[in-house]
Amino acid sequence: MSMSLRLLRDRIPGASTVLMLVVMLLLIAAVTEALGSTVLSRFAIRMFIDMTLVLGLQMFMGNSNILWFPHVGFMGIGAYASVIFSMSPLQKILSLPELYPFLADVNLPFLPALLAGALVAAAVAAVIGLPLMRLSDFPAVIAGFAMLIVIHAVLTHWEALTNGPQTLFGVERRTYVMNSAIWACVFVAVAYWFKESKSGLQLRASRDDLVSTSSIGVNIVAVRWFALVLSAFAAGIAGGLFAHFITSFSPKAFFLRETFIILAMLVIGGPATVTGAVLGTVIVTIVYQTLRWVENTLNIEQVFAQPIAGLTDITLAVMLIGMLILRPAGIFERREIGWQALRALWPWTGADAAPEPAADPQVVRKAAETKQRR
Amino acid sequence: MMRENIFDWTNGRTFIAGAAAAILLAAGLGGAGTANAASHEIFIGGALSLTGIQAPLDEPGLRGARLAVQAINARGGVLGRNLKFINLDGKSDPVTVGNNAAQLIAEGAELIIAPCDFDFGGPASREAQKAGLVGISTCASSPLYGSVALGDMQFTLAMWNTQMGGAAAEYAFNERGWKTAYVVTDTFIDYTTSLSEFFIKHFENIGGKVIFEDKYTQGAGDFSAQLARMQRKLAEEPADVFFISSYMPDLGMIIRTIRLAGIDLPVVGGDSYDDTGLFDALGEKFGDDIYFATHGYMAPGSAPGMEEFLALHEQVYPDEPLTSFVATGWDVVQIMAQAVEIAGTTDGAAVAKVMEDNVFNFLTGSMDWSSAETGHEPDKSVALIELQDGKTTFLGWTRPTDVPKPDYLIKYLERQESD
Repeated sequence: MSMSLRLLRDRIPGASTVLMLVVMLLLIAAVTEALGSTVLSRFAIRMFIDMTLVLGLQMFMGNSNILWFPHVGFMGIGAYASVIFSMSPLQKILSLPELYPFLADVNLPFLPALLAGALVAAAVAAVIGLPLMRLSDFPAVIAGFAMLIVIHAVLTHWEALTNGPQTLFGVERRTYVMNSAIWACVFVAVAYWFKESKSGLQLRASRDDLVSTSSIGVNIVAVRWFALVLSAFAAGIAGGLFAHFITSFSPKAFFLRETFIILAMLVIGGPATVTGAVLGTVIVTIVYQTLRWVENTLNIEQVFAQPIAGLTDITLAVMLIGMLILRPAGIFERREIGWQALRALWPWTGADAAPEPAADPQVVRKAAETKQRR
Repeated sequence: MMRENIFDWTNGRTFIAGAAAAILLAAGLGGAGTANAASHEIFIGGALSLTGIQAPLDEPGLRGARLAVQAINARGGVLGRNLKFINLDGKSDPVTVGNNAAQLIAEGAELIIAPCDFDFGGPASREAQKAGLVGISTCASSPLYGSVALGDMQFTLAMWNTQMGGAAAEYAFNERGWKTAYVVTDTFIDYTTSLSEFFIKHFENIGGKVIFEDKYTQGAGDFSAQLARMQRKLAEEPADVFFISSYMPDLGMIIRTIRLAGIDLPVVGGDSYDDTGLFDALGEKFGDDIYFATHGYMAPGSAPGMEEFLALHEQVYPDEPLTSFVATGWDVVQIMAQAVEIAGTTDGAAVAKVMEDNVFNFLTGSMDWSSAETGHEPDKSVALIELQDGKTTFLGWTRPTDVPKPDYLIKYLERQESD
């Protein structure tokens, strides 16, 4: 490796991780665009939206180790809020007849509407996060699950804002391959930055050892809260992208099915790493679409007397179980993709590659150091 | 020392597996694009769900569609071309449904059959519209399913909830003389909410009185609070009939709870009652004095072509068609075939025009759609069915008059006029 690259690597820690992931995502987007197939673009858009969502989940769940259910609830809030900001007043008369008058005339362009929608999701998370972030372990998981149900119930019954259980239709298509890919890239950088930031480090320390982290004076509630707000913001963006992709949806789009899929993506990839979140999404998407193709081909060619169904869901579930047995911390347990890891691929440079940090007792110590430095 | 790990990404095997999967995927997509370019058959694409919550609604329609393709091909196809029908499992996921439709269109589909629901069917119809093709949903009864929300080549085979609720209201008020109704609405999904809304509107329009509307949510599993309220309200002011808008499994529980409490007023409902699960759940003991509006009745003589359908069904499937949802799939294909025959082409605009201008008459009664400017509102005959001693009887066809229009359509039409 040349000297200047070495310097760059030392100066910006993790730059290579972010760079590699971003290049990979943009490459996928560019190839998809070049091929120009509607079907492939739709797969890619769905993947980038899921990736944004999974990266958001990684920021909170991956760094805090709290199994977090309400994430798709925040996605739902972002979806509805962005639509309320972006829909034209004329369309609102048809689609949201009971909307409050002060919101009826709001009509922002797509990007500000998307950001505003995500801010609403982050604001809701900020409020409900205050009491919830005091909880750890099972109580946190149960409270989070209850939160998902509460959000779902509110979306289903607040007719003025969401049209109730009825489908909200007439949203303009604004999400395409490139803008969804760019948002996924943005959150790759944000998630990596957060993980390596001071709060991120403190949060990871609390994940590895809650008691000693609080003993060194880290305000665990505050760092968790910050991570939650960031994560809800990402979920809100994903929701806005989803709304302007599917163009008609109802609250049931943001419930258990989607929760299961994104949890599978993160758990299979590895919740503790950004690489895990990104590649988990890519792998699950490829497996899902391939199996769907296999299933469809078998049915069209009538290989079996009866059409087979449900192959994809079973396989996804088996993959998840297998992963939890064989490698509970996911494919990318602790180490991110990057120059170092890449060099380990080549046998002649692999010797000086850093070994996989098994548990990482370092994190608590590092958090303590940053604490002292302040 | 580095921990040995078969899943480490630095290990070549995972990488190879991933690459293989990617190649498989690419091959699938590439192969898909060229498969049917020069086919002589008329290719109908379906995106109905075989798995997930939508499967029970889509599966019967799929059966019916397959039978219709068989029947039409047996008599020589359409315009001298045979029909080919391929359905890709929509997996009860709106995005997958849209992907399927896009894929089928890329493979050369000329007509699209969409799932039986606005949320799940909409994405398929939207892809069809984008490609300039006619899309028909098998049995979506949401009043949104039409040209305003989806485009001028999109239709639903089912009556809208406006007409279903209207038919139930007219049957109760005009035919049976039940003047006061007690309504129970399941607020979990759009279908049940809007069905109640239109029943109440029409019942009041024709002179009836709704004494109370109570809410229930699917999945709660307990109707005792609502029952207590019901007993109190009915003691204050008696009602002639119940209108209960819910669906299985809780619909069975609600009716049992009411009957067990000794309240034996007649019950009226919509097409969610057309479910063998309900008949089984109520049995002979509770399956009494129930009347519902649905798409058709699966017995000889109820509609033109029923005998042919039943004979073919008996050949292919071991069991009898017990609900009229099978007929909706059959009718979608029959109407597509007839409309293409009249239009002389599968061109979306031409076929849509034929569908707007003609009246069709198949298993689900006579049906007609309004123009694209007025929303493709279906005007259909409604089948009325009676459940006594756990057995169904066909009461006949009806066609409610002046049913309420959905709010969005009223506003849309007003806007058209003022423009």
